[in-house]
Amino acid sequence: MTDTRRDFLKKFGAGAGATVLSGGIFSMIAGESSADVLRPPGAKPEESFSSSCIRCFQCASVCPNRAIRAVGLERGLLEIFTPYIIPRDQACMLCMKCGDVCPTTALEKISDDGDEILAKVKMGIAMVDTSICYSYSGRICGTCYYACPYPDVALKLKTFAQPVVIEEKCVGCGLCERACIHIPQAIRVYPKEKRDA
Amino acid sequence: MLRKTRRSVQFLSLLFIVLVPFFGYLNSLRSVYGISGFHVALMNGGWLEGNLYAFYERTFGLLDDPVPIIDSLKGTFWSITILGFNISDPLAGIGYLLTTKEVYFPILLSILIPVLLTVILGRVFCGWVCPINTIAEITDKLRKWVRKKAFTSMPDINLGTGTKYGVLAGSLAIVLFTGAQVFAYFLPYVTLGRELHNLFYFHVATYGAYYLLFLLLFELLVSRRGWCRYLCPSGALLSLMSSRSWLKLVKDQSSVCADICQDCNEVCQMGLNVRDGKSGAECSQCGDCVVECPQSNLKLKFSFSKTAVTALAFAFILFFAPIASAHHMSGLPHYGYSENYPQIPVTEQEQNVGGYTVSLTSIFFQGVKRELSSIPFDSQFYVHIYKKTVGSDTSKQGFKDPFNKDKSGVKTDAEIIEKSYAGVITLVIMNEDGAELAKYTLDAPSEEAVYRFRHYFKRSGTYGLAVNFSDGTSSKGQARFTVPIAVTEGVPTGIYIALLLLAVLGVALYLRKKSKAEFVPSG
Repeated sequence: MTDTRRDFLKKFGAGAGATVLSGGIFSMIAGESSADVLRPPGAKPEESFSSSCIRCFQCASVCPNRAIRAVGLERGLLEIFTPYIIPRDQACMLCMKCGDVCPTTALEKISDDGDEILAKVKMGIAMVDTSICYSYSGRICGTCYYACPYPDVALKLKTFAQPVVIEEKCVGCGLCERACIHIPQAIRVYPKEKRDA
Repeated sequence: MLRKTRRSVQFLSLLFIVLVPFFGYLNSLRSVYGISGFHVALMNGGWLEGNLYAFYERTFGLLDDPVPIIDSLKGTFWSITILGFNISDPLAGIGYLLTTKEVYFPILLSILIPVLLTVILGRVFCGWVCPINTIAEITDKLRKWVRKKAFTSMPDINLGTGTKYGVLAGSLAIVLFTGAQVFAYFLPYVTLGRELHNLFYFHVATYGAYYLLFLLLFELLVSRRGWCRYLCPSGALLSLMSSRSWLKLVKDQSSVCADICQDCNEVCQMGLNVRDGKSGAECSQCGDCVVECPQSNLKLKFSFSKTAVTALAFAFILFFAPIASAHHMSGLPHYGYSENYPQIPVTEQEQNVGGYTVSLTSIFFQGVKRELSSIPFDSQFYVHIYKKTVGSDTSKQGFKDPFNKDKSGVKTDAEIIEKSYAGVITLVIMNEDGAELAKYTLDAPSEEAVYRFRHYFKRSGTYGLAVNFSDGTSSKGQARFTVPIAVTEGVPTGIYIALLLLAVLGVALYLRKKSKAEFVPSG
């Protein structure tokens, strides 16, 4: 009996040791997490997001637009499998299903009511690069304005359809970036962490 | 009967893990394209997807609104959402508790069902539900066949049952100290779900497929049922919880086993000593030994006490209470076709050269699925060169930075001025060895400070691009980029074909053995 117990403890130690060792190597090669990524609507602040997310990727599964990805190593090892959005490929349409389905506090549950979204969602802020925007260079475009879910609230048009972002109201869904017909994009959404930096 | 029930449950669980991402994907096709199977085939792939979508339209499409019905079941065995109620893996809940160090009631509630199931019925998740166990059983059948046909002896490394408890403890320590949910990184049933999700949604396979293949080969060639027996931390936790389970494997002590009979020990999935009645908490309740025992000495017996039933009743009251606060199920907003049509994907790169930032945007005109095409003949490159300086110039070309606020929240005068380069630039396109393929020169920006180049490539591959510019006064700049053109993202979908073939072979072997057994006259 003592023999099997000793054997068990030996194996236990070997398993734990091997796991901790590989975990050490893992955390050594896990580079710094990059914050320049758009999270799904209602996400926690970046510093606590990746520890709250259990990587069940149900938000990605429920997203009707396939905007949320949880694919792989793009964001470093510590943030692997956490959800993010590349608005140029597919932007968020603010249906708020991801928060509904999230089992943790990583994504807040927000109803799909327009005013509530405006008050609570802050994925990022859109910024207009006036040096390359069509409307600021003598051609009238305004495509971003027509894509915005909150026209005249979050995004206004000046004379000659020049877009102006109302920073306090912009939810950062990225529909304007996705719709922008200029290449490279003249309007882009930057994640909210950059705002405070 | 026991085995048939178990096989049906296993089949259902496999069906669940495959069909949830499958129908989720068709659902998203509906909201993105929303027209017909023909249009889906035209725009998003081909014949197969078009027909699958047409099938979906003919079945679920007849319902008034199929989307909430399909959305009501989501997730994998790591975390499932059924009708708005979450059921999570115990390790997910524990991991969340350890990383955030806060008590979040819903997730603790969501692990209640698996915990109760394990406490009452033992390791049934392992034996009856886990898809990896099902795959491993098929692999086991294959292993037997390979040993019979090819090798007389195969290595069967015993890592020891203690190892998995060590892996559990070590992983918990890593979760606590690094704050990463490492269990979700390497538990194979989570990996399988994620891989299937990626396969259906984005048509890519990631390294998780290699990991699964590695495990399968490990179990096939190195160690029989190696992962489940010796390494799985989830199995370790479930074993710990099921030590006093009500459902237990009991041996009839009145009947004496034949001396040479080792059937139960040989068939045992977990490699336990069933013959001597020492199965213990490691038993995965699969009941194979019960079926195989020639003397019917073994039984899965259910026994419970009054206290336990009372505790269970209380637990159920606790569990059903929050459902009353009905869950909000939001419907899909109605989006038009034009709103959801995906943009042409672009690749963007940036470099800093001589004070300037050179940004390169590349487009390959092969439609939405350009990664999968073999000849990306038409490509466009957009080069934008600019210099960012902080100043107080408020001219029209100024670049307002909304993030640049001082502490009182009022904007300062200092702004980031973006000045675009507008001189002559040259674009040299090289192949991988550095040999020049083409050279383009533009005297002025094509439009709005952006230079546009167009090049026809003959074949896919990795190309080098050099952007030369000089602003006359001080600096000459050359920015070098590497552009992968139409290189498939290593899509190793062949792995799935291999897995499928293995599965078919395993099932065929299983069925063949059964039919043979029927032909052998008994007695």
